[in-house]
Amino acid sequence: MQVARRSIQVLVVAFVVLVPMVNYYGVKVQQKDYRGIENSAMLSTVDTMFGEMDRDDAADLSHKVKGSVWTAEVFGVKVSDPLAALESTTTATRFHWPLILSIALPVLVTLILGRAYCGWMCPMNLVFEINDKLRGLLKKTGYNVRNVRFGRQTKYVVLGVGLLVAFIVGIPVLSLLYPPAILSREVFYKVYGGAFGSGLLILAAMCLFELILSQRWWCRYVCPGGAVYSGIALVRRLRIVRNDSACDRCGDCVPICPYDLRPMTTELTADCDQCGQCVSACDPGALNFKFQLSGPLRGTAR
Amino acid sequence: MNRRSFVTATVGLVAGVLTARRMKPVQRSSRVSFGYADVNYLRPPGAVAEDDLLAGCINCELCGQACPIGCIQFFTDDAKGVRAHTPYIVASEIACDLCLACTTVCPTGVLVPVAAKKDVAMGTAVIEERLCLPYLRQGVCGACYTICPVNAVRLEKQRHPKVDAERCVGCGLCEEVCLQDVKAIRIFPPAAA
Repeated sequence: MQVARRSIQVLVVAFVVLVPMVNYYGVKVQQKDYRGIENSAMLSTVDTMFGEMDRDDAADLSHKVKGSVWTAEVFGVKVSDPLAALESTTTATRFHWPLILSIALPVLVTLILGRAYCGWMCPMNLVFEINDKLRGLLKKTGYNVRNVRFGRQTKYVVLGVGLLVAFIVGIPVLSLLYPPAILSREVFYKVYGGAFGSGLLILAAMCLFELILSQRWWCRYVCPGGAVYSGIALVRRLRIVRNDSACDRCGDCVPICPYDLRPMTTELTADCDQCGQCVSACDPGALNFKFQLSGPLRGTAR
Repeated sequence: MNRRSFVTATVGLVAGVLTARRMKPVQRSSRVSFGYADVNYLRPPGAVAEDDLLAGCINCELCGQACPIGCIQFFTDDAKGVRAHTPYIVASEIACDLCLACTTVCPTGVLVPVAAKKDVAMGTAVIEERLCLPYLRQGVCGACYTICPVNAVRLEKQRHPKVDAERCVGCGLCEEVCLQDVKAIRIFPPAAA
């Protein structure tokens, strides 16, 4: 299962990187202007991707898929992050129905699967997980890494205050702080403008903070997008449940949880991102994903 | 906290937030700095009023990916404060060719789909006669007249260009093709015109 999860994460990262490349390629082909990119890795990558296809046909096809994980349009279907819709609606104080409709799919998925977006799709989650591995290595070398804990409710406060500030100043400030949005933007700037922007500094600062001061700080405590998903995920139908008789109380599942939840004592709240690392780590197979069509809707339950 | 103080605090908070929202910073004119001189920038076609655009835009850069000629740029590092990561066009570099792809792709509705080219309102072209070659009696040019996609430029006495402000949509193709280094025809965005 972890292999499947990693594959999906890598696919999403590939999507985020390749889509701007393909669109930029389309621009260049239509203009018949390859100045500056003749020998670039981008041109060869996209050429390889389209294979034997004629360049003009490829350029026509290239504009069919646009966007990133923040918001995308795939063959005319728009999909947006719920945070984007929430913030834009709050700040502009008007309902734009296409935007509301575009979050239907993510919201539906979250209603059923919980914060699966965070664990399985978010490109920055992959980066932070790799960062966490580095943190483990750092610990092994004897460096005294700290782990400052914050309240789990911090993210709802960040979301609320962010929306309030956005409403007051009239610009969507959360979109400037939301890591997947920053990453998508920076990749776009790199492909189109040839240089990364300042957003990368914010991401680097976050990584450094998590590396030496607080384990998985952003995802656990702060992320406003995660707050939206967590709020929806209170009524999720897919939960990790523990079979009490099979459990041998080894505790392997507790330190492995990236969100510092305790699967062994079934304290899996709506924060659980369904990464399934505890399920994979459980030797006796006491932890399992389970669909519940009925049952308790809220609470710390299972 | 009793009920009275709670109600007072709530009313005070709401009033404070609404007041703060009305106190907008002064809008600077639509200019982007290139170091040596300020250049007018345009918003993509179908853009709503500047305040609404800044509020509604989620900085997703979809319009930039949709643009088939790559004319849409984004405010990046020199971070024009509140305008950071929003789209703009500098007509003298690459002008909009009015394909209107960006208006249909925008997820937030800050770029409103436009039915026809003539309904776009990005700005208005203004001719500086002291720079324009025919006005200077340095020959016949007519580049702006030839390229205008909405026939907003006509030639007086078959050489002097005149802009019909009613018809002009502000795409900026005339500014891009103008032969002069310092453009004799320039687009002024609605706020600056």
